[in-house]
Amino acid sequence: MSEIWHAERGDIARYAAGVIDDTRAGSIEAHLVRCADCRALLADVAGAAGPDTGAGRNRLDATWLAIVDTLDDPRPTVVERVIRRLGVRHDTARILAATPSLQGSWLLAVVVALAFATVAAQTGTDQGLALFLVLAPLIPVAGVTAAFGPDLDPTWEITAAAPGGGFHLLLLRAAAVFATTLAVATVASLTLPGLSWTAAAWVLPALALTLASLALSTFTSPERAAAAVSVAWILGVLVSGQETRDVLAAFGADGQFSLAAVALVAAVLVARRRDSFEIRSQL
Amino acid sequence: MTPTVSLMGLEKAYGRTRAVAGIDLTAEPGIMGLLGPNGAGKTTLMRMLATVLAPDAGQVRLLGHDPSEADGRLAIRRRLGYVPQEPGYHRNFTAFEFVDYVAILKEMTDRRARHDEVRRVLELVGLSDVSGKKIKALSGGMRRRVALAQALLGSPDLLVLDEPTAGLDPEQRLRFREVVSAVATDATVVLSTHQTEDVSAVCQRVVVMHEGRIHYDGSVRGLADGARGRVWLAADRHPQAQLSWRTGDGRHRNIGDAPAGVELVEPTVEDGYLLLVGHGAQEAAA
Repeated sequence: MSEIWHAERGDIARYAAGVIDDTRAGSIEAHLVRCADCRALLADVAGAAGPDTGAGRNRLDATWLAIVDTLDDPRPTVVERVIRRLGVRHDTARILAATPSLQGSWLLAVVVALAFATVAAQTGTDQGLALFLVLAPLIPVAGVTAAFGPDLDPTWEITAAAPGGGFHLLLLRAAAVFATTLAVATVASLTLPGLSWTAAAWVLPALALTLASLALSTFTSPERAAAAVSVAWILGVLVSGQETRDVLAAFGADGQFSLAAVALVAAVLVARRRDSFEIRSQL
Repeated sequence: MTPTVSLMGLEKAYGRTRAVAGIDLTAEPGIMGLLGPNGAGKTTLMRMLATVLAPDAGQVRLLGHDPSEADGRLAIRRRLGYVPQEPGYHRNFTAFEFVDYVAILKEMTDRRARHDEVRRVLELVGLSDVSGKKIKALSGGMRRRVALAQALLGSPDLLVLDEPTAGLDPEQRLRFREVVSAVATDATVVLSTHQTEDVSAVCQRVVVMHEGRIHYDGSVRGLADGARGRVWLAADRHPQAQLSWRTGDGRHRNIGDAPAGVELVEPTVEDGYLLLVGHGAQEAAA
């Protein structure tokens, strides 16, 4: 269909200069696509303003660049969109969304593991509850371990050599993974029978074990550190249960106090040995 | 002028194996090739140059800073580009997304400017047409170029490239040489490779490493000259030859102490290199 109208020269000039309102600019753009005469007029007007520095060319270039940029802009994943919704900057969100232990498959594994533990706790026995309380703190340990380190992050070496890939990134990722698993485990603990203080007795162990694992990973690989901390934790719970004939003994006041001390010491160690996260002594 | 790279008495061991056994080295703008057989310690040295691995002993200064100090390390990383020997990728990312991701890690916070830079480096390595393709769908050579593209972000002053030409076809290799030689007018490029052709084509200087030590440090021509008078062609493998192989025309290329009366030929960089590192290099090349 042929056009029955043409844009006014004044409008074209204002369009080229970028001083026209968006509605009118949109209308002119739609017309320009179909009308060779007006495109020639635009070229004339833009040319009169200077071949490369003219306002028209600037506007066209800017429009074209904006289109290219929109096409190129990586499509955010579900995880990235969720992180952005929480008010995190787009670039930080993108880095966090690439964390191995924030991927869908990992989160699914967390949900399945906690579902099993929750089912065991539904039996209403101390053993069932103990299983949940032992397992829940180990999930953030595994998640934080998988969030960094040479063997689990495929881009580790490139990341490590980048200015934004050091200790700061490790803390960001660790905090994101910890918060995520904490949220899932909290939901699971609310389904425990006979809700009482014990439902939250895994929170401090989770923090202490995660920090202990991070601190130990300044001496050895993150995987070994996580394995050592996990084994020590399970043995600790078992031994204290045997000695006191109470399978939940480790989660009592004394146990929580000891774990708070572990968390504190580990946090200090992590801060003091932060360099070993940035430049490894062994690979 | 302060050299871009300055290493003194550098050592690194893995258990009982001394991967780097006392290296002194300086480098300035231009391309320095690092040749050596597998296990020579090249990758260990490259990782220390890329600030991801700490030495056991010795001094490292890169771009005038000490990477063992937090501030120095950050200052170096802001001017560093690195292609590891086995660069990992988030395979579900497209080429553009991956390079954009690294650009964020390189502190390019302005989205528009960052995207312009990502497009620039993808264009440089000839990947503009496939920038929207997922990395897992790219060929090995294309992935290598993605790795090179991320290293070129921000036009770094020090480029540490660990076997960047592995898996590239001849055309891609030519493109690589073109890009790297253009960059090296201002930047210092340390290029680790098995390929003597790469070294001959683009390096102003070559360092040969073997068993954790430097066996040669000088011009490319000088490395070839080391084999002058010690390379000859014969119908068979000569018993006096240190190394010998059958060439395409059916004759044997012998390297070693040439006996009198043989047909000596002009030595290549490869001849000089093989003579230096002997069987280790021949096994690595096999």
